[in-house]
Amino acid sequence: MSDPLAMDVRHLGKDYTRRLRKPGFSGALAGLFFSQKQLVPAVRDLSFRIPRGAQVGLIGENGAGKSTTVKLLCGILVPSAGELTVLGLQPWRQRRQLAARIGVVFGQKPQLLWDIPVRETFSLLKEMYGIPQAVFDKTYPKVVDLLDLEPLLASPVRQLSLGQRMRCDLAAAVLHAPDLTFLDEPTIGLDVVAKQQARELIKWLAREFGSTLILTTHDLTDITETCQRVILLDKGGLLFDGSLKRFEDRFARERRVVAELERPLSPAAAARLKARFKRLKLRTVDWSPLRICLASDRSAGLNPAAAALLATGRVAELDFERTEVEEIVRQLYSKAKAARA
Amino acid sequence: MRTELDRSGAGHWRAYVSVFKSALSAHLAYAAWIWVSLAATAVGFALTLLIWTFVRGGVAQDPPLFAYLTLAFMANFTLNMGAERYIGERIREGLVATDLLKPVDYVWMSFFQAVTDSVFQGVFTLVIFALAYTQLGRALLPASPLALAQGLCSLGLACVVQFHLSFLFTQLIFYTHNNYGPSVMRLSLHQAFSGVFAPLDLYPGWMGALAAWLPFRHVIYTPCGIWLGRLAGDEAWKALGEQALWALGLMLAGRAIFGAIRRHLTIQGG
Repeated sequence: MSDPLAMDVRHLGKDYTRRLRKPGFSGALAGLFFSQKQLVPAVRDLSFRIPRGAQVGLIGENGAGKSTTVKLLCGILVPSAGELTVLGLQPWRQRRQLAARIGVVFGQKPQLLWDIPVRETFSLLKEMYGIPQAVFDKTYPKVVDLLDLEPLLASPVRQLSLGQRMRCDLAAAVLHAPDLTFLDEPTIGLDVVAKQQARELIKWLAREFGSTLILTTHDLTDITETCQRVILLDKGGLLFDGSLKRFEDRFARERRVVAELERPLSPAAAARLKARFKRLKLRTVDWSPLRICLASDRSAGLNPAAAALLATGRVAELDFERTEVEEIVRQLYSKAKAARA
Repeated sequence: MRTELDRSGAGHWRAYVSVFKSALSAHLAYAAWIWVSLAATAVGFALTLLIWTFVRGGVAQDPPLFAYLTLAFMANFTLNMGAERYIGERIREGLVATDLLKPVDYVWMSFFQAVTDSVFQGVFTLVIFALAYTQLGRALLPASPLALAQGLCSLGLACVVQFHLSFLFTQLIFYTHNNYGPSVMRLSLHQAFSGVFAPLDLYPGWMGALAAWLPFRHVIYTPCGIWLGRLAGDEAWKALGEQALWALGLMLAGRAIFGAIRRHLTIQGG
């Protein structure tokens, strides 16, 4: 019976040393002989467990420790503290065994060979991973089709655009039908169509092979479309870990009613409405001549507000909105920054 | 529930053959670069011969020396792997991360990538050999059938020694973040102590003694010396034994150091 956990991370930490140099030319000169060292914690006391087959979004600001975490989980980096097992293996000790079972895309570090045609890289990977023919016959045509790679297969990688290269990199990472796929910024450089193709590929992997997915991205649509769970990192530590629904419930409590007006309200009508909304304890997000947006932490106050707006007879369109994940993340970062300050 | 896939084929020896073939294919991607490199190398060889011609008064004055210089050039060019440049750039740019994601041994993968240079350049040196044969004749041929066998064996070991020397110096790049210094350091030591510009048996006392203690001699002098009979009998067997020990020692040292470095490895830039 295989381990039901894809990964088990306990108090994981990774520090690296940074050399500090004084500013300016004299600082650079002095740095040739003396420099101070500073220990920088890239990942701090990180703990989480991910069951097999889960699709998890790993998000965080630049420098939050996402990529370092992925590299620790892949076995590239050796942790400074804590314990971790991935697919029942200790990543850095059993790197090769783990590598055979995972697929990884680093958006900023292509794994394709620069000077040879894409097709030859795929052949190399087939041999390198010892992909059984039956598996290759299933994955190869599918990824070529899903990512529309046929026109690119004969081209050397150096002749491809960033987006084309990313698509080929994605394909290369999943040809061996990995048990666990790490996608670190996989949609960098992709246009809207290609992004959708990449998301379809992720869904197909999960459906066809039950592959576990760890997705790191700044494009939160990738997360909302493919993941059920979110891990939010801040300065190497855990800020949130839970389902996407819980994430939204916890942080997206604010609801909004937005009215687009056909023509502006009279000053008297506007004053009456403002007084009413104040009594309903609604927050005014936008009050311009042709647009009114009100927000509340409790959806209860929004219905009477909507009715009052409609009663003016000037509403062309009325919408109820919920805070988008992207907006929540932005707010969380701002709060974290303010707390640190 | 997912069915466990068979992963037993990952990292099989066929993987290394594929690495070798892909690297060779990549090597052949730039025709102009290849021809210019070969031309530049040929010019370098001609200049070395010219200098020795001035010193010795012509090929006919000392055929064994010129035979050695020709073979030393061939061995040097054949074993001039781009390991430092290739591995160094990948370390500096953080692409070593993607190398470590492959289910193969990192050192052997690097070896098979580097050895493509040797195969490609080795074929080119056969042209040099044929041209030199017209001038030097039998002086270029192995001293005996045993010297031929020992020489080929020594060339194989020289390949291992050379790669692992490069690999060891490349590890410095994890600290220097630039491959220039480590590269130049190894190249300088190689040029001084491998016997590429002159047979080590012509070196004066202390320098010859120092060269005898360093591994660089086993890249050029040992295979060429055995082939041409400068090292014969017990001396040849002793040199082969030392070369094999160096190959093994450097291999183990390279792995141990790389293992230690991995503990402190940082890969910047996402």
